Parts: sequence; C-alpha cells; structure tokens
Amino acid sequence: MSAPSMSAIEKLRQAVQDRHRYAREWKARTGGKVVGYLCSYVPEEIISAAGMLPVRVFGSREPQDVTEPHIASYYCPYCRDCLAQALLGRYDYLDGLVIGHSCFHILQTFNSWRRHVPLSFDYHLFVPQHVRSPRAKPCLTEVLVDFQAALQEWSGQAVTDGALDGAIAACNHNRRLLHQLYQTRKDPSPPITGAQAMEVVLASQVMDKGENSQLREQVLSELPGTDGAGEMVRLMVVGSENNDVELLRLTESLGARVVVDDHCTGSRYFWNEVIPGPNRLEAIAARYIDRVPCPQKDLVEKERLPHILKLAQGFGVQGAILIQEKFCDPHGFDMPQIQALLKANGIPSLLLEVDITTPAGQFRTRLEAFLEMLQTGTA
Amino acid sequence: MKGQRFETAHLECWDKGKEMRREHFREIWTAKERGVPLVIGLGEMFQPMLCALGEYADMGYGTKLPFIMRHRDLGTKCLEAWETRGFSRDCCSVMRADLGTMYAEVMHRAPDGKLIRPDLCIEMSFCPNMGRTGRLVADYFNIPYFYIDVPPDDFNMETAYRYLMDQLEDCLEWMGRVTGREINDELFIEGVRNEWQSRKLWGQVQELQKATPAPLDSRMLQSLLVPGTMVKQKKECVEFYRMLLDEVKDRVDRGISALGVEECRLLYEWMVPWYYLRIHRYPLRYGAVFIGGTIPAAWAVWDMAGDGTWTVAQTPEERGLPLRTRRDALRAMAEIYLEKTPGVHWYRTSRGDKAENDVMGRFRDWHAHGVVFHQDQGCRAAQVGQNEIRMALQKAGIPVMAFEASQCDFRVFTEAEVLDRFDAFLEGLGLTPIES
Repeated sequence: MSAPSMSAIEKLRQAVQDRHRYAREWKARTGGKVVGYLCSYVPEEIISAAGMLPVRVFGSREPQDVTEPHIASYYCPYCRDCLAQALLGRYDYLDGLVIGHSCFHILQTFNSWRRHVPLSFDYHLFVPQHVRSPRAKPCLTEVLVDFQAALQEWSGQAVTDGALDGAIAACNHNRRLLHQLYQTRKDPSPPITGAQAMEVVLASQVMDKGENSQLREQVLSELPGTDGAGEMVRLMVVGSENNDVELLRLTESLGARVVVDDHCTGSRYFWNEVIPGPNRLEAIAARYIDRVPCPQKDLVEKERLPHILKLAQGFGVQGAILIQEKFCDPHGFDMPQIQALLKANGIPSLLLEVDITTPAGQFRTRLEAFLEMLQTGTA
Repeated sequence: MKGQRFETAHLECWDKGKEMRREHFREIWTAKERGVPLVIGLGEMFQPMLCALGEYADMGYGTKLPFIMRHRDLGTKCLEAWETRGFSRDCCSVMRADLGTMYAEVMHRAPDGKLIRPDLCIEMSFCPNMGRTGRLVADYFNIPYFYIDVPPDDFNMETAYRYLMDQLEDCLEWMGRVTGREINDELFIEGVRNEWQSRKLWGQVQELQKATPAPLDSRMLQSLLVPGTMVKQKKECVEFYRMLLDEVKDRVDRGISALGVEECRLLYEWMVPWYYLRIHRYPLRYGAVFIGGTIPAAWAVWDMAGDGTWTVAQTPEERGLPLRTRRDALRAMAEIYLEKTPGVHWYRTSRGDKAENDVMGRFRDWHAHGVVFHQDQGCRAAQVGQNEIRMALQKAGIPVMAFEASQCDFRVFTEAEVLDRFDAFLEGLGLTPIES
C-alpha cells in the first residue's frame, strides 16, 4: 500500500513551515494582535481569550551569526536560534512577547529580544519552579490575575469569563484531538510517522486553535488503519524544545518509526487539560502546575522519569533517542538518570547532542548503528 | 596618582576571620559526636532557618571545593567522577565539582578519614542547578530534601513575598519534623537579626572602598567575606564585621592602602576562577587594584536608586519594623533576597537595563577606571545579561574587558591567553608595568 494522501496533514505541515505567513495572514484577516511566547508554561488560554493569537517562538535551525554579541556561545542553541529569528526580523509581525519564567538561557533570549527588537507589550510571567509545592497553585493564580489585567490594559478590552470559557474549551478540544492522534501511534503499524506527528503538534502552537482543530479532525478522519510500512523499530524521542522535524525524518528513513515523545514542543505541550472550575484562572493555573513537569521544574519529586517510562511502555517502545541541546543544564542533569531508568527496564537509548544545525552524516551513522543493535538484540 | 606609594598595614582582625572558618569546619566534622543535625545545601543563604533548630552544623554546598581547587589531581578526579556517571561536562562547573567531590567520597570525608553523612538537605532556586544538585545529594545520601523556590523581583511583590514566606514557613515545620526537634522562633528571629546586621556591616565596609586609596582589595574582600557567607546568622559574625568596620575606617583615616599602589581602580564582575586566585593581584604589576565587584556587593544589603546609586540598607528594626514574630522574621529574611541583594537578581529577572545601571553606578561612585568581566563558561547565572551589560558600558565610554574561563573547571583555563588579555587591557588604560 502506498503512503496515504493526507491533505489535512499537508496543510498543517505547511502552517508550520510557513508559520510567519500564517500569522501575518491571520492578523490581516482578523485585525487581532499576535503574541509570541517563549516556554510552554505560558497559558495560551488567556492570550486567546483576549482575542489574540498566541504563537510559540521556534528557531529555524539555520546557521546564524547575529546572536554572539548578546548571548554567550555556551548558552543552548535553541535560545540562540530563537533570538536570531527576532534579530533577523522574522517575527516582525509580533505585537507582544511573553516568557514563562524558566531557565537562564531562554530568559536571556527574552531580555535581548525586548532590548533590541522592542514590542509594545512584553511580559515576564513568573511560573513557580517547584510545581509540587502546595504554594505553587495559589501563587500562579495570583500571577495569572496580573497577567490578565496586563493584557486587558494593553489591548483596552476586557477578558471576560465567557471568553476564558471559550478559550479553555478550544484548547482542551485541541489537546483531546492530539491525544486521539497519539493513541493511533500505539498501533503495531502506526498510520502516521513521527515526523508528521511532530508537525501536527507544532502546528497547534502556531495556529488559531479553532482552525487547527478543524484540520486535526480532518486528519483523524483521513487516517488509514495503517501506514502500510509494516512493523518497524519503535522509537521514542526525549528532550527539550525540539522542532527538528528533519532529524525525525532522517531517523525514520532508516527503518524506524518514532511512536511517542517527551518534548515540551510535543506531548508535554498537550498532555493534560484544564479542568473547568468557577475560578477560571485558578483552573488554568492548576493545569500548568499539574502538567508533566519540565526538567526545569521537576527539581524534587522527579515525576518526569516515571512518566517517560510509562509512555515508553504504553507505546511499545523498543529504543529511545535522547536529544540533548548542547549546554542545556536542566536536561543535562536528567539525561543520565533517564538512560539508567530506561536501561533498567530493557529499553536501550542513544544520546544525541544537538546544536542549531544537525550533523546529518554523523547522526545517520550513529542512528544506523543503534537501529542495527536494536534489530539484532545487541543494544 | 602615577608613581605614588601608600602605606600598607596588616589587618588586625585577619586571624580572627581565619579562626572563625576553622571553627565552622570543626562544627561540621564533630556534628555526629555532638549529636546535632548536620545540614547540607542552602547555598549559603537562609541560614537563620537553621538557628531555629538550636544546635546544628551547616555543610553549605559541601566542604572541599576550595581544597580540590588547590589540588588539581584530586580536582580532576572529582570532576571526572561526575562525568563518568554520564553527566554532561557542559553543566554548571560549581555543581559538577561539588557533586564530583561527593561521588569521589571527598566532600564528606572528615580529617580523620571517616565518612560522615548529612541528615537533611535544603536547597533553593537562586539558580535552578542548585535545586537539581540538592536532589542528587539527597538521593546519594538517602536523606530528606526540601526545596525553596525563590521568585524573581519583577512581578507583583506581595505575591512574591507571600510565596517565599509561605515556603520558608513550610520549611521550618519540615525541619522540625525530620529532625525531631522543636522549632525555636526566638532563635530564628535572632538569626535573622544577625544576618541583617552582618550584611549591613559588610555593606558599610564596601562603602569605605570608595576611598582613595582603597583600604582593601578584592583578594582581601574575598577572604573577609567567608564568615559572611558561612555564618552570617551568628552573633560572632556580627562582632567580627563590627571589628572589621572599625579597623577599615581607621585605615581610611590614616590613608592605609590595600597594596601600596593605586594607579588605577578596577571592578571585577562575578566569580574568580577558584583555582587561579592570583588573578586578583595580576593587575598589580601595572599598579592597578581590584577594589570590589559584584560578589562582595551581593553579600551586603542595599537600597538601589534608579540612577544606580547604592546605599547600604537599614535593618528592618531601624526602619521601625520590629522582629517579634516568626512572620516578622520571615518577611525580613525574604526582603533580603527579594529586594536588597541586587546582584543576585540581575540574572533572575527581565530587568537587564537595571543591571547595567547598577554596574555603572558602582563604577561612578567607587571611582573606578575600568571593569573586568569573567565570562564564566561554568556558570549560566553569571552570564545572564553580561554581554548586554558589557555593551552598555562600552557605549557609555567605560573601559571593559572580558576573559573566558570557568570558575571551577581548570581544564578549560588558558592562562597565557587570559593574561595576554589583561596585559592588553591594562596597557590600553595607559598603564605600564611598575617596578615591584
């Protein structure tokens, strides 16, 4: 059977590739503001409820030479890549920029961005680092009250409870659709590749939720029962803000299928929902506090590790590719522990250290060797 | 003041500071035989909380970091102990070295060779790597762990205070539970009072550094700061800094200088490479003196004005805020870390423009002629905003140099290259080598 025609998937893919054009067109069409955000702890619900389009800032994974004066070369490539996009004018359509309090690296991106490419609205949104502290939810709720007020003041429009309810429902629906899509990947011969799945999730972070969900529903209806490629080595990818679709394509071209991930641009972005409550902001705060934590916020309980293992086992993973952004401290502390946990549970892993660009030849060799070892049971 | 020479004098209180350090380590190594809780972590902050336990010993980050910085073979063994466990060589060098001493069983080995085990670990999020280190430490020793999330200071301050104070109160209760000891609020309050006093006195010493010639240099300040990092919550530290302040005032009155020459006054920003402390005095061959910098300033308490003017903060009680209850003391302690220590906030907030104002203010008011930045590969926190600050200073016409190294990983230090940079910078300031 040949690969299925997935026009909706193609549209989502195009939205990711032409994300700047999409945002500009959205802006021209609606007259609304576009707000870029750094870090998946920024609550899209509130930005959407304010009638704005939240757009996750991604790098382009192209060589660049504009960030060196602003960010040390030993900061992570992702934060340098994101700043490069701003300095190169690729996000010149943004009206505002929000960062969720996270690591030093991305904070520097935000600081340099607002200094050199000033916007009429920028916001450093404090998100507690110890998310399992009983003090975290009340704190984030208070922070979100201030954030909502700041958006209102900036836009001159009230963010009503009705608008919040609508945005919560739209985001939750979007998350459910992504869950449904991921569930299909448990199939022995998944109907969607890992690269396609990544593009679908990325699209959700740069598109209007309603439009995105419509396409997503279409994707689900168009999916065949299988991709026809037969059973392949089932892999998981684990890491940080990974939008490197090409790396997944390369991996899958070697006879593997990426069936699940643990990335903040992937499953961690949508894994849990807002449970609606009378206090909307409290409900939103609870969602972000309760989500599978980023390693930056998983400082005490180490919840992410068993979650990764559960995903690996639930999706029948045979091996894992651990993607470490060079110089990333939070993930650097986690990776050996993840490797040890997976190994103890019979899941071999391959650690790839990545920079802005992917050394395709070198990675191909390493991936081939890893897959061969998995196929022969020698990993 | 080309060619001018000044009198120098030994600091009378120097030996007292050394003795305090020895006593601190004696407390750690004898904690078990004395039956007092041995605490690891805290990053040399929030120590008044420990006072609430009555007796305790505080290992801080660990005990052997300076030691392995002086003994490179052992230092290499410790750094590699981290790396052989699969952790990245790119992570924070302090935490790598610290955890390396633990994995290599150096950190907790007493002078008599016995290994001791801390009883509880408390860490905080000034830098998230500290939090992650605390987790690994607690796992290694299999001891209870408490984590304090310190918020930045660029959002609603009442929310920030409430969040931090509530966590600190939780921590006090937790400490009582895991040690089986009663939490003594009076001792806690006294500890907070002492920390405020210690920091204020230390700030007053910094202010005296505005004098020409400066009575102390950065190398002296670094040693004199040790009690302020390790035991600032204790009465002995307050007494020591009072003694130091009197002596430094006297040095200023008598025109006693740090090093005998002062043709140029420099600020040193961020940490030194701990294995290369002679960097403090390298400019001396050109008659230049490091008179202070971020780190000594960070351990005082300051009121910051919008124009970058640094004024030593008054204690809460001097401002009419009594320390009567636990909440009073929690707020006073939170105030130090949320509002009165600007250096540690630069890297946690989005207020980069404030940071450059603060450095410019120090440059102006301490009558400096240049600023040296350590671009610390091994510390992301130290690097936040540094490039932007450097550019802003250059734009303002302030001579700036930067050298790249790592505060705890001597394997990346290129001495000749770093010293060449210093030579070029100092010559660029119009200085020439002086005769010793």
